[in-house]
Amino acid sequence: MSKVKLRPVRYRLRDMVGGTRGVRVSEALARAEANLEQTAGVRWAALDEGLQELVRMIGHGRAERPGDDELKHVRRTASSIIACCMEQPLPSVARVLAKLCEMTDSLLASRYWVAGALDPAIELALLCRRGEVPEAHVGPLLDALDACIARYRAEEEDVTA
Amino acid sequence: MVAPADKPELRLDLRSAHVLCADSTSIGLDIIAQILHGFGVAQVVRACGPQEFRDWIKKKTFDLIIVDAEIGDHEGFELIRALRTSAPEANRVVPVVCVSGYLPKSRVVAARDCGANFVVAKPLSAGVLLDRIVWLGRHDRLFVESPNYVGPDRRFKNSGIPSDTGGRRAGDLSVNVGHPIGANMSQDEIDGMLKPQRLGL
Repeated sequence: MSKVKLRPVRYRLRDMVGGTRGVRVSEALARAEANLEQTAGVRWAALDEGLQELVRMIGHGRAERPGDDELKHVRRTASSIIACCMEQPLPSVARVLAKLCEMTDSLLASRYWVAGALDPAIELALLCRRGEVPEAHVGPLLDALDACIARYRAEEEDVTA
Repeated sequence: MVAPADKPELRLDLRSAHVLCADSTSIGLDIIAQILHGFGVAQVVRACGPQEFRDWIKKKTFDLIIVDAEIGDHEGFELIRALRTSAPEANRVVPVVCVSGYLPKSRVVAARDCGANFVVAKPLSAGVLLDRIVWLGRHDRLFVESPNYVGPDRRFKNSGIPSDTGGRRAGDLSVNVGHPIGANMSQDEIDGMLKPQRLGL
Protein backbone atom coordinates (compact mmCIF):
# COMPACT_ATOMS: atom_id res chain seq x y z
CA MET A 1 0.00 0.00 0.00
CA SER A 2 1.33 3.44 -0.98
CA LYS A 3 2.50 5.70 1.81
CA VAL A 4 2.07 8.75 -0.41
CA LYS A 5 -0.76 11.10 0.55
CA LEU A 6 -2.01 13.77 -1.80
CA ARG A 7 -4.45 16.37 -0.56
CA PRO A 8 -5.76 19.63 -1.89
CA VAL A 9 -4.56 22.74 -0.10
CA ARG A 10 -6.29 26.06 -0.41
CA TYR A 11 -3.91 28.98 0.08
CA ARG A 12 -5.31 32.05 1.79
CA LEU A 13 -3.74 34.02 -1.07
CA ARG A 14 -6.69 32.69 -3.08
CA ASP A 15 -8.92 35.20 -1.30
CA MET A 16 -6.54 38.04 -2.02
CA VAL A 17 -6.00 37.73 -5.75
CA GLY A 18 -8.54 38.23 -8.51
CA GLY A 19 -11.31 39.78 -6.40
CA THR A 20 -12.96 43.15 -6.77
CA ARG A 21 -11.02 44.86 -3.98
CA GLY A 22 -7.47 46.14 -3.71
CA VAL A 23 -5.18 47.53 -6.36
CA ARG A 24 -4.67 46.58 -9.98
CA VAL A 25 -1.67 44.39 -10.74
CA SER A 26 -0.23 47.16 -12.92
CA GLU A 27 -0.47 49.64 -10.01
CA ALA A 28 1.09 47.19 -7.56
CA LEU A 29 3.97 46.61 -9.92
CA ALA A 30 4.53 50.34 -10.49
CA ARG A 31 4.55 50.98 -6.73
CA ALA A 32 7.01 48.17 -6.08
CA GLU A 33 9.33 49.42 -8.78
CA ALA A 34 9.13 52.95 -7.40
CA ASN A 35 9.99 51.60 -3.94
CA LEU A 36 12.98 49.75 -5.38
CA GLU A 37 14.24 52.89 -7.09
CA GLN A 38 14.36 54.57 -3.70
CA THR A 39 16.69 51.86 -2.39
CA ALA A 40 19.24 52.36 -5.18
CA GLY A 41 21.75 54.32 -3.08
CA VAL A 42 21.71 51.78 -0.26
CA ARG A 43 21.96 48.87 -2.70
CA TRP A 44 24.95 50.34 -4.51
CA ALA A 45 26.71 51.00 -1.21
CA ALA A 46 26.06 47.40 -0.10
CA LEU A 47 27.36 46.14 -3.45
CA ASP A 48 30.56 48.17 -3.17
CA GLU A 49 31.08 47.04 0.40
CA GLY A 50 30.59 43.40 -0.61
CA LEU A 51 33.02 43.74 -3.52
CA GLN A 52 35.63 45.22 -1.21
CA GLU A 53 35.11 42.38 1.24
CA LEU A 54 35.71 39.91 -1.59
CA VAL A 55 38.93 41.74 -2.52
CA ARG A 56 40.08 41.59 1.10
CA MET A 57 39.28 37.88 1.39
CA ILE A 58 40.65 36.50 -1.85
CA GLY A 59 42.00 39.36 -3.96
CA HIS A 60 45.54 40.68 -4.46
CA GLY A 61 46.93 37.39 -5.81
CA ARG A 62 46.29 35.48 -2.63
CA ALA A 63 48.92 32.75 -2.58
CA GLU A 64 47.55 30.13 -0.18
CA ARG A 65 44.26 28.31 -0.61
CA PRO A 66 41.55 29.70 1.70
CA GLY A 67 39.90 27.17 3.99
CA ASP A 68 36.59 25.63 2.98
CA ASP A 69 34.65 27.85 5.36
CA GLU A 70 36.31 30.92 3.93
CA LEU A 71 35.53 29.82 0.37
CA LYS A 72 31.91 29.21 1.37
CA HIS A 73 31.85 32.70 2.85
CA VAL A 74 33.17 34.05 -0.45
CA ARG A 75 30.40 32.26 -2.34
CA ARG A 76 27.77 33.48 0.14
CA THR A 77 29.01 37.08 -0.07
CA ALA A 78 29.08 37.05 -3.87
CA SER A 79 25.65 35.45 -4.02
CA SER A 80 24.13 37.91 -1.54
CA ILE A 81 25.34 41.07 -3.29
CA ILE A 82 23.91 39.86 -6.58
CA ALA A 83 20.63 40.99 -5.01
CA CYS A 84 21.83 44.60 -5.34
CA CYS A 85 22.52 44.46 -9.07
CA MET A 86 19.26 45.63 -10.60
CA GLU A 87 19.84 48.48 -12.98
CA GLN A 88 22.41 49.06 -15.73
CA PRO A 89 25.30 48.45 -15.73
CA LEU A 90 24.85 46.21 -12.70
CA PRO A 91 23.28 43.15 -14.35
CA SER A 92 26.69 42.41 -15.86
CA VAL A 93 28.18 42.60 -12.35
CA ALA A 94 25.56 40.04 -11.30
CA ARG A 95 26.61 37.69 -14.11
CA VAL A 96 30.27 37.96 -13.12
CA LEU A 97 29.45 37.38 -9.45
CA ALA A 98 27.46 34.27 -10.37
CA LYS A 99 30.50 33.06 -12.30
CA LEU A 100 32.65 33.78 -9.24
CA CYS A 101 30.29 31.54 -7.25
CA GLU A 102 30.79 28.80 -9.86
CA MET A 103 34.58 29.15 -9.71
CA THR A 104 34.45 29.05 -5.92
CA ASP A 105 32.35 25.88 -6.07
CA SER A 106 34.90 24.28 -8.37
CA LEU A 107 37.76 25.16 -6.05
CA LEU A 108 35.79 24.00 -3.01
CA ALA A 109 35.65 20.55 -4.55
CA SER A 110 39.45 20.27 -4.73
CA ARG A 111 42.66 21.07 -2.86
CA TYR A 112 43.95 22.85 -5.94
CA TRP A 113 44.87 26.50 -5.72
CA VAL A 114 47.00 28.78 -7.81
CA ALA A 115 48.00 32.25 -6.58
CA GLY A 116 45.22 34.69 -7.41
CA ALA A 117 42.88 31.91 -8.58
CA LEU A 118 39.79 34.08 -8.16
CA ASP A 119 41.37 37.43 -9.06
CA PRO A 120 40.16 37.43 -12.70
CA ALA A 121 36.53 37.21 -11.59
CA ILE A 122 36.88 39.84 -8.89
CA GLU A 123 38.75 42.25 -11.17
CA LEU A 124 36.13 41.79 -13.88
CA ALA A 125 33.34 42.43 -11.37
CA LEU A 126 35.05 45.66 -10.30
CA LEU A 127 35.51 46.77 -13.92
CA CYS A 128 31.84 46.06 -14.68
CA ARG A 129 30.81 47.92 -11.54
CA ARG A 130 32.65 50.98 -12.77
CA GLY A 131 30.95 50.61 -16.13
CA GLU A 132 34.28 50.10 -17.90
CA VAL A 133 33.29 46.94 -19.77
CA PRO A 134 30.91 47.29 -22.73
CA GLU A 135 27.97 44.92 -22.44
CA ALA A 136 29.02 43.11 -25.63
CA HIS A 137 32.38 42.19 -24.09
CA VAL A 138 30.95 40.66 -20.93
CA GLY A 139 29.93 37.34 -22.56
CA PRO A 140 33.39 36.59 -24.04
CA LEU A 141 35.03 37.55 -20.73
CA LEU A 142 32.74 35.18 -18.85
CA ASP A 143 33.79 32.48 -21.33
CA ALA A 144 37.37 33.33 -20.42
CA LEU A 145 36.52 32.74 -16.76
CA ASP A 146 35.13 29.34 -17.77
CA ALA A 147 38.47 28.71 -19.42
CA CYS A 148 40.16 29.52 -16.08
CA ILE A 149 38.06 26.82 -14.39
CA ALA A 150 38.94 24.34 -17.17
CA ARG A 151 42.62 25.20 -16.79
CA TYR A 152 42.52 24.71 -13.01
CA ARG A 153 40.87 21.33 -13.55
CA ALA A 154 43.46 20.27 -16.10
CA GLU A 155 46.35 21.37 -13.87
CA GLU A 156 44.84 19.57 -10.90
CA GLU A 157 44.53 16.39 -12.97
CA ASP A 158 48.20 16.73 -14.01
CA VAL A 159 49.25 17.08 -10.37
CA THR A 160 47.17 14.15 -9.16
CA ALA A 161 48.06 11.87 -12.14
CA MET B 1 2.67 31.51 -15.90
CA VAL B 2 0.39 34.52 -16.17
CA ALA B 3 2.70 37.51 -16.39
CA PRO B 4 1.31 40.54 -14.53
CA ALA B 5 1.66 42.52 -17.73
CA ASP B 6 -0.83 40.13 -19.33
CA LYS B 7 -3.46 40.89 -16.70
CA PRO B 8 -2.95 44.54 -15.77
CA GLU B 9 -6.58 44.89 -14.70
CA LEU B 10 -6.49 41.94 -12.30
CA ARG B 11 -6.81 43.12 -8.72
CA LEU B 12 -5.04 41.98 -5.62
CA ASP B 13 -5.66 42.88 -2.03
CA LEU B 14 -2.68 41.79 0.04
CA ARG B 15 -3.31 44.18 2.95
CA SER B 16 -4.12 41.33 5.30
CA ALA B 17 -1.38 39.00 4.03
CA HIS B 18 1.30 37.95 6.50
CA VAL B 19 4.61 37.33 4.80
CA LEU B 20 7.78 36.00 6.39
CA CYS B 21 11.04 36.94 4.66
CA ALA B 22 14.28 35.22 5.59
CA ASP B 23 17.60 36.49 4.31
CA SER B 24 20.97 36.78 5.99
CA THR B 25 21.63 40.33 4.83
CA SER B 26 19.72 43.42 5.79
CA ILE B 27 19.86 44.74 2.23
CA GLY B 28 18.37 41.46 0.97
CA LEU B 29 15.52 41.83 3.45
CA ASP B 30 15.04 45.50 2.57
CA ILE B 31 14.71 44.73 -1.11
CA ILE B 32 12.11 42.00 -0.58
CA ALA B 33 10.21 44.16 1.91
CA GLN B 34 10.13 47.15 -0.44
CA ILE B 35 8.74 45.02 -3.23
CA LEU B 36 6.09 43.51 -0.95
CA HIS B 37 5.09 46.89 0.47
CA GLY B 38 4.64 48.05 -3.10
CA PHE B 39 2.26 45.15 -3.65
CA GLY B 40 0.26 46.34 -0.66
CA VAL B 41 1.46 43.82 1.93
CA ALA B 42 1.28 45.49 5.34
CA GLN B 43 2.68 42.69 7.47
CA VAL B 44 6.21 41.81 6.42
CA VAL B 45 8.08 39.91 9.12
CA ARG B 46 11.86 39.72 8.75
CA ALA B 47 14.11 36.89 9.89
CA CYS B 48 17.82 37.43 9.45
CA GLY B 49 18.95 34.01 10.61
CA PRO B 50 17.82 30.39 10.86
CA GLN B 51 16.90 30.59 14.55
CA GLU B 52 14.78 33.69 14.04
CA PHE B 53 13.07 31.92 11.14
CA ARG B 54 12.25 28.89 13.31
CA ASP B 55 10.97 31.10 16.12
CA TRP B 56 8.60 32.98 13.82
CA ILE B 57 7.29 29.77 12.33
CA LYS B 58 6.27 28.59 15.79
CA LYS B 59 4.77 31.94 16.81
CA LYS B 60 2.75 33.10 13.83
CA THR B 61 0.83 31.81 10.83
CA PHE B 62 1.93 33.12 7.44
CA ASP B 63 0.34 33.34 4.01
CA LEU B 64 3.63 33.34 2.14
CA ILE B 65 7.25 32.68 3.01
CA ILE B 66 10.19 33.99 1.01
CA VAL B 67 13.49 32.44 2.01
CA ASP B 68 17.02 32.85 0.71
CA ALA B 69 18.76 29.62 -0.30
CA GLU B 70 21.74 30.60 1.82
CA ILE B 71 20.90 32.00 5.20
CA GLY B 72 23.63 32.43 7.77
CA ASP B 73 25.87 29.39 7.68
CA HIS B 74 22.92 27.21 6.76
CA GLU B 75 21.37 26.13 3.55
CA GLY B 76 17.90 27.63 3.31
CA PHE B 77 16.84 24.29 1.83
CA GLU B 78 17.14 22.65 5.23
CA LEU B 79 14.91 25.30 6.75
CA ILE B 80 12.27 24.68 4.09
CA ARG B 81 12.49 20.92 4.57
CA ALA B 82 12.09 21.33 8.33
CA LEU B 83 9.13 23.66 7.75
CA ARG B 84 7.41 21.06 5.55
CA THR B 85 7.96 18.19 7.95
CA SER B 86 7.69 19.62 11.42
CA ALA B 87 6.12 23.08 11.51
CA PRO B 88 2.60 23.67 12.84
CA GLU B 89 0.05 22.53 10.21
CA ALA B 90 -0.94 26.01 8.95
CA ASN B 91 2.67 26.91 8.20
CA ARG B 92 3.61 23.46 6.98
CA VAL B 93 1.55 23.87 3.81
CA VAL B 94 2.14 27.59 3.27
CA PRO B 95 3.55 28.58 -0.14
CA VAL B 96 7.31 29.08 -0.11
CA VAL B 97 9.35 31.02 -2.64
CA CYS B 98 13.07 30.26 -2.52
CA VAL B 99 15.34 33.06 -3.75
CA SER B 100 19.05 33.09 -4.48
CA GLY B 101 21.68 34.92 -6.48
CA TYR B 102 23.45 31.71 -7.40
CA LEU B 103 21.27 29.00 -8.87
CA PRO B 104 23.01 26.24 -10.77
CA LYS B 105 20.73 23.37 -11.74
CA SER B 106 21.70 21.32 -8.69
CA ARG B 107 20.45 24.06 -6.37
CA VAL B 108 17.23 24.58 -8.28
CA VAL B 109 16.59 20.83 -7.99
CA ALA B 110 17.49 20.96 -4.29
CA ALA B 111 15.05 23.83 -3.75
CA ARG B 112 12.28 21.99 -5.55
CA ASP B 113 12.96 18.78 -3.66
CA CYS B 114 12.96 20.37 -0.24
CA GLY B 115 9.42 21.65 -0.80
CA ALA B 116 9.68 25.14 -2.28
CA ASN B 117 6.77 26.16 -4.51
CA PHE B 118 8.89 28.43 -6.68
CA VAL B 119 12.52 29.36 -7.14
CA VAL B 120 13.26 32.96 -8.09
CA ALA B 121 16.67 34.28 -9.11
CA LYS B 122 18.21 37.41 -7.63
CA PRO B 123 18.42 40.24 -8.42
CA LEU B 124 14.71 40.09 -7.80
CA SER B 125 12.37 41.55 -10.33
CA ALA B 126 9.13 42.90 -8.89
CA GLY B 127 7.34 41.57 -11.98
CA VAL B 128 8.60 38.02 -11.51
CA LEU B 129 7.73 37.97 -7.82
CA LEU B 130 4.27 39.39 -8.46
CA ASP B 131 3.75 36.82 -11.20
CA ARG B 132 4.46 34.00 -8.72
CA ILE B 133 2.16 35.49 -6.09
CA VAL B 134 -0.65 35.87 -8.62
CA TRP B 135 -0.10 32.28 -9.73
CA LEU B 136 -0.32 31.03 -6.15
CA GLY B 137 -3.48 33.04 -5.67
CA ARG B 138 -5.19 31.63 -8.75
CA HIS B 139 -4.17 27.98 -8.89
CA ASP B 140 -4.63 25.02 -6.65
CA ARG B 141 -1.75 22.67 -6.15
CA LEU B 142 -1.92 19.36 -4.36
CA PHE B 143 0.16 18.85 -1.25
CA VAL B 144 2.19 15.65 -1.13
CA GLU B 145 3.25 13.81 1.98
CA SER B 146 5.51 10.82 1.52
CA PRO B 147 8.46 9.31 3.34
CA ASN B 148 10.87 11.01 0.92
CA TYR B 149 9.16 14.27 0.16
CA VAL B 150 6.74 16.67 1.79
CA GLY B 151 5.59 19.72 -0.10
CA PRO B 152 3.58 20.99 -3.04
CA ASP B 153 3.06 18.58 -5.91
CA ARG B 154 6.18 18.95 -8.03
CA ARG B 155 4.29 17.92 -11.15
CA PHE B 156 2.08 20.93 -11.63
CA LYS B 157 3.16 21.67 -15.17
CA ASN B 158 1.37 19.46 -17.65
CA SER B 159 4.49 18.10 -19.29
CA GLY B 160 3.86 14.42 -18.64
CA ILE B 161 5.87 11.92 -16.68
CA PRO B 162 9.69 11.95 -16.87
CA SER B 163 10.75 10.48 -20.23
CA ASP B 164 12.94 7.77 -18.75
CA THR B 165 10.25 6.28 -16.50
CA GLY B 166 6.97 4.51 -16.98
CA GLY B 167 5.34 6.64 -14.32
CA ARG B 168 4.62 5.81 -10.71
CA ARG B 169 1.03 6.84 -10.16
CA ALA B 170 -1.97 4.87 -11.35
CA GLY B 171 -3.11 7.87 -13.39
CA ASP B 172 0.25 8.63 -15.03
CA LEU B 173 -0.05 9.06 -18.77
CA SER B 174 2.65 8.83 -21.40
CA VAL B 175 3.90 12.02 -23.08
CA ASN B 176 3.58 10.20 -26.43
CA VAL B 177 0.25 10.39 -28.22
CA GLY B 178 -1.43 7.01 -28.14
CA HIS B 179 -3.43 5.19 -30.85
CA PRO B 180 -7.11 6.02 -31.20
CA ILE B 181 -9.25 3.39 -29.58
CA GLY B 182 -11.53 3.30 -32.65
CA ALA B 183 -13.40 5.49 -35.10
CA ASN B 184 -16.48 7.38 -33.96
CA MET B 185 -19.64 5.33 -34.58
CA SER B 186 -22.68 6.68 -36.38
CA GLN B 187 -26.13 6.29 -34.85
CA ASP B 188 -26.98 3.58 -37.43
CA GLU B 189 -23.89 1.62 -36.49
CA ILE B 190 -24.76 1.97 -32.82
CA ASP B 191 -28.35 0.86 -33.50
CA GLY B 192 -27.11 -2.06 -35.55
CA MET B 193 -25.00 -3.11 -32.66
CA LEU B 194 -27.39 -2.48 -29.79
CA LYS B 195 -30.94 -2.54 -31.27
CA PRO B 196 -33.06 -4.83 -29.16
CA GLN B 197 -34.52 -7.61 -31.30
CA ARG B 198 -37.70 -9.38 -30.39
CA LEU B 199 -36.98 -12.96 -30.01
CA GLY B 200 -39.52 -15.06 -31.94
CA LEU B 201 -40.13 -18.45 -30.53
